[in-house]
This record gives sequence, structure tokens and C-alpha cells, in this order.
Amino acid sequence: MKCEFTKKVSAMLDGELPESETAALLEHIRNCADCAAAKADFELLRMEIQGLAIDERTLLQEPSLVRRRVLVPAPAIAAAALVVVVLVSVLVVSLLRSPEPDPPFTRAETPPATRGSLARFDGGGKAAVFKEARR
Amino acid sequence: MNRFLAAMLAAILCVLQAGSGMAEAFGERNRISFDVRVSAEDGSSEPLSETVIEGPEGTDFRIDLTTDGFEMRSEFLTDPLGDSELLVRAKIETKRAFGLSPNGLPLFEIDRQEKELVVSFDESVVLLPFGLNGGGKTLRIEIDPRRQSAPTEADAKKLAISFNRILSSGEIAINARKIPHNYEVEAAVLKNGERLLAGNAKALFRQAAVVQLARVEGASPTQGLALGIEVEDLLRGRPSDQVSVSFELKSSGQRLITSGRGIGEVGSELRYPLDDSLGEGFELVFRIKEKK
Repeated sequence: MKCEFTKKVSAMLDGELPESETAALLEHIRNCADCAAAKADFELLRMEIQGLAIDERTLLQEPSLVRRRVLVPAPAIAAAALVVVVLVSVLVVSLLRSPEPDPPFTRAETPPATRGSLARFDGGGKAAVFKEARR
Repeated sequence: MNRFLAAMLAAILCVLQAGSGMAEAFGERNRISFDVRVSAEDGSSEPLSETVIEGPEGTDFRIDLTTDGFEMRSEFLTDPLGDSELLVRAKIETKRAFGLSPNGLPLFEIDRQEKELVVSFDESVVLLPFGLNGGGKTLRIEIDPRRQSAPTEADAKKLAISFNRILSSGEIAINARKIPHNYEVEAAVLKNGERLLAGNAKALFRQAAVVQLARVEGASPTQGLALGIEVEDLLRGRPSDQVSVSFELKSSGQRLITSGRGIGEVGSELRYPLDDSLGEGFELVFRIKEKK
């Protein structure tokens, strides 16, 4: 790689050189072993790069992968996620709100006894009557 | 000495009899009073209410209590037992709000109890409307019977209630009445108007009595029957009072009349046909008379 024209070989392969200069460089490469080797290396590299590009296109055009991308778009996923979230929320709320089964009978809350009400003595006992020595 | 003691004893008896006769001669009549005291059995000494019921012997009274979620109806029928004791027949009904049924209908705890007490005049009848309340504070109604005397028969018949201390909330109501308690039941089974079986028995107000109906002399042989009867109530009226009765007629275990009921003037006849049980022409006749 001692020839000063080798660094123009890559530009030529990329089509960046004018035609007159390209023709002169091709004439030079026929007679310059270094430039010919450089051209071969660049072409091999380009082929490898193109091969990778082909493989990538092939992969992108794989039917299963293409179908997956087309059938599950992002908005649909978001909508589905939203529906799932809403359903789970409704289920949780309904479970939290569902009351315990009613017992057969429920004792009423005793209202606060009014001032002077004899109900303040009511402890739920059974009435009793008896006799005793007079106090 | 023995003759002297016998003479002294005879003299003492004469004095006692004369004293009794003098009391009658001066018109003293026995009366009774009931001091009804309502108090909170929680250490507070001041009674909540004090009432005195006065009336002739055999005066009955009621004490009713109505408060938040609780009602008590109590009735006390009293009859003298000699000079020193009193028969008290207590009937208590309580109704307490319990809550609601699954259908939202009100539920109540209802209790009914009856008790007979023989009470002397140095004892009290104690009524605890809410029970003992586990040793905690409770409401206590004490009823102290006392003997009294009235100078005239008219005074002895007077019925009076004095409310000396009133419970301002109006949760306790007390009332009294004097109605006859002692009756005599005369009953007979007739066939085509002829008395086949007859009998009589004493009956106390609101207490079941049994009249054994035996064959009347000269009547054709018929098995004996028993009439179970109770004077349930007396309704004051003019020209005469009315009694309501419940009864059943039994023959050696077989019930000829069950759940019989009737109402009629005191002393009048009540007639019930027995065509279905004994045959055509048979009937039950009875009469409730006041026993003086």
C-alpha cells in the first residue's frame, strides 16, 4: 500500500470520481499491483456488506415476521391493554363491593337513649317479679 | 287456779270479740293501699316516681312501661288471705324491638309470664322490667302493700291514686280498678229441658275452675261430665255487669266442647246446644253469679 493512488480506489468504487479520473485510475490499476490489491480488497468488502444487506432484507421479508408486525400494531396493543386494565379494575371493585351474605336476623342498632329515658336501663334482660322483705 | 285461768281466757276472748264487734258497729272497713316506688338501682337514692294506690280489698292495678324499643304490660290481681297475707297474681308481658328480618320487617322479643305470690304486709313485691341486668344498674319497681281502715263503708269503697312524684317523661302509666274476683258457676246438662246433670263450683277471676256435673236424682243414668271454665273479664255496664268466659266440656277424656267462649250478663243463663256431641235435644246451660 505504498502507491499514492490506492486511497482513490475506494472513492472510485463508490462512484465518487469523475469519469475521466476513473478511466485514468483503471489504467493505473492494470499496471499497479498495490492498487489492484486494494481494489480487490474493497470489492470483497463491498460484497460482504451487500451480503449482509441482502440477508437483512431477506430477514425483513420473512412471512412470519412480516405478519407479526402487520397484525399487531401498537395502537391495537394499547387498546387491548386498556380493555384488560378496565376489566380487571371492574372485577376488583365488584369484589370489594360485594357484601357478606346477610345473616337471617339482624339486631337493630339501639338508638341513643333520650335524656331521662328509662331505656338506658335496658340491658336486654328478662323481666322478673318476686317478693322480698321490706327495706 | 285452773278455773281462774280459764275465766281470764274467756274474758280476754270476750273482749276481743267485743272489740271486733265495736269496730263493725262503728263502721270500720278494711282497705288496702299499695305504695309503688320506681327507682334506679344504681346507687341513686332518689326515687324516679312514687304513687300510692288506695282502695277496698281486692283492688287490682296495672303498671305499664313504654320506652324506646321496649314495652311492658303488667297486671296485678290481689286477694286478701286472712288478715295478714295477700295473694298477688302477677301477669307480665314484655315486648322488645329486636331488629329486622331479611325482608325488612320488624322483629320483636316477646315474653309472657305469670306468677302467684303470697305476700305478707311486711314484705314488698319487686318488679324488674329489664331483669337483673347482670348486676348492673337496672330499673326497680317496689310495691309495698299496707292495710288500712275506713270509718264508713262508702269511704272503704273509694278508689284513689295519688301521684306523689311523677316521671316527667310519661314512660310509666299506673291505673287501678276494683272488680269482683269471686264467682259461683252453676251448670247443668239438659235433655229436652230436663236436668240430667248438674253441679256448681267457685271460680276466681282469671283462674280456671272445674264444675263436676253429676247425675240429678231421678234422672236417667248418664255418665258424668266436667265443665272447665274461666271468667276472663268483667265489663262494667248498666243495668248489670257482663262477664266474658272461656270453657270446655269433657267426658272421661273426650272433649265435647273445645275452645268455647261466651259473654253475658252476670247471673244470666248461657246456653249451648250439644246436638253434635251428645245427641238431639241435649244442651249445656250455665250461669255465672257474683259470690258475695
